[in-house]
Amino acid sequence: MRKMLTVYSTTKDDALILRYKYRYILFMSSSELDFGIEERGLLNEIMRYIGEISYSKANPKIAAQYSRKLFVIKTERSYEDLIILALSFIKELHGRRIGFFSLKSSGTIKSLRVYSKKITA
Amino acid sequence: MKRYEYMVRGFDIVDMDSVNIRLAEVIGYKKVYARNEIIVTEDQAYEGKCIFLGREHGALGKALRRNNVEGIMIFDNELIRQTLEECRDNEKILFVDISNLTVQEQRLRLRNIHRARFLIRSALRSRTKIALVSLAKDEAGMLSAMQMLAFAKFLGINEKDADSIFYNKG
Repeated sequence: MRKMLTVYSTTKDDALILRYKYRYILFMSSSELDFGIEERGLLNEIMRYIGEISYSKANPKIAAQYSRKLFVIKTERSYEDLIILALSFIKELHGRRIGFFSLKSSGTIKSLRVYSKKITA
Repeated sequence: MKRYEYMVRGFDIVDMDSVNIRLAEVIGYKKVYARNEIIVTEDQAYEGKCIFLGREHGALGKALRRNNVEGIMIFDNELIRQTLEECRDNEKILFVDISNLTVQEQRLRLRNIHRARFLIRSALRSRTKIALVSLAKDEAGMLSAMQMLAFAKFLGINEKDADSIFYNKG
């Protein structure tokens, strides 16, 4: 497993400042989503598949939404595979059939925004 | 850990009448074959290009010797060691259906995952060529190439071999 924390800088007192490194994953859903209502449901479904302990470590968040089908999930970088797998298992949300496709993962959100424009063009 | 990049990988097979070509490209496949292009059948007399689905060694063994059969699929991913060896000797592909690993019922899903893992482990040991296919019945059931790789790793295929789990025609 990769190191979760990376040394960011050192102060004069030699105290280390550590920061978490994240990974951003671009997902596309098979049908349109209303994130106002369904965001919590989606995160709950992820927790159901990966468990509470892994969920708290992975700390997945919806970082951006480019359209009603395209969105980005931000997660701790060593849990990237787990989040991709969890969303593969989700085939039903709020009583309707839905599928999620992971398209690209990146260390920065900017590259995903560029990629999402390429897809929607 | 290997990082994913956007690139078009192998082929996928679905259980639908037609496939959205644009969607197939976006999710990272060269092509997704629909039902009318490659069929999964239990019919031993079928003469078109097909994947033979069987549950006994006798029928599977006969199918492996036919030219029109691309590969075989074992019903419920049950392990038949003799068939795996014959599959390797005839240079055919063992297809593993992923769609039954994502069913809603938990007990059934866990059973299917366990069986698929066991089958894949045995196939890797006997050096049989494996291909994971989604066999989705609708768009929601499909999986992207990235997800297929994640599934391969989850089912016990190491990172080195994970790229070779895509069905590559010819």
